[in-house]
Amino acid sequence: MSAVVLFGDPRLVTRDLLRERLATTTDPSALGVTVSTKPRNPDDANKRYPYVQVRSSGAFRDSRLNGRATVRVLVWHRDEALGLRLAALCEALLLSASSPATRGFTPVSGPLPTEDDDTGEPLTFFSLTVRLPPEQL
Amino acid sequence: MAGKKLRLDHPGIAGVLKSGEVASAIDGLTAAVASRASHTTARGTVIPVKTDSYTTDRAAGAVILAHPAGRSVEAKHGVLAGAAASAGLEVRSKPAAA
Repeated sequence: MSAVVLFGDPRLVTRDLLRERLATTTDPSALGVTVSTKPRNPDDANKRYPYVQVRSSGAFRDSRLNGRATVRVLVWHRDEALGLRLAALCEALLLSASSPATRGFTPVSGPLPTEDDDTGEPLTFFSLTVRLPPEQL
Repeated sequence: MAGKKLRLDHPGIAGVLKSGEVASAIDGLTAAVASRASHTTARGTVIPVKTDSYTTDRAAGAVILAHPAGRSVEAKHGVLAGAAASAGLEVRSKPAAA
């Protein structure tokens, strides 16, 4: 029987990298940032800004050892300019990241500013492809 | 094979990429993605999905969330990216033209 190979959760890999890199930045747009894979509660009366959510749009493997996934990073902020700035910062930090948990990121789309259709809050998002290292069981 | 040269027939390749057969295959994929992209917001708004066929240097197709909330829906729910993945397509950035 050949080796059993699987890949990590792209959302957790991205979340952990963002938490680590944002913790050391002094950019004003990132002050007090929360990074999570969990959705933001639209009914929360005490909304904290900024809030960054990492989601995945699909995972792929084209060989036993080559895994990729598309991740979306959503940024809620108190105004559109700060949200766009923080989204651009998050994208830049991920594109330059080096970690045993990834083989790197490549850009797909964005950052694109919009408005949360449920709450009306400024929302910016972008997408990346993350290449994942194989894990042998 | 030593000494053999391979010469690409660029006009011929372009002709194939714009052919009716390729356009038909693209239309099929476009329809497959569109059929998987339905979404209704938490407020009950049904997001209409439209498709378009066009030609650049090759046959191409587009799937569009034709609603002002479309971008927010794509951000929060990844409707188009998820529909493409479930149709067997991988979302990538378009390479810059050579």
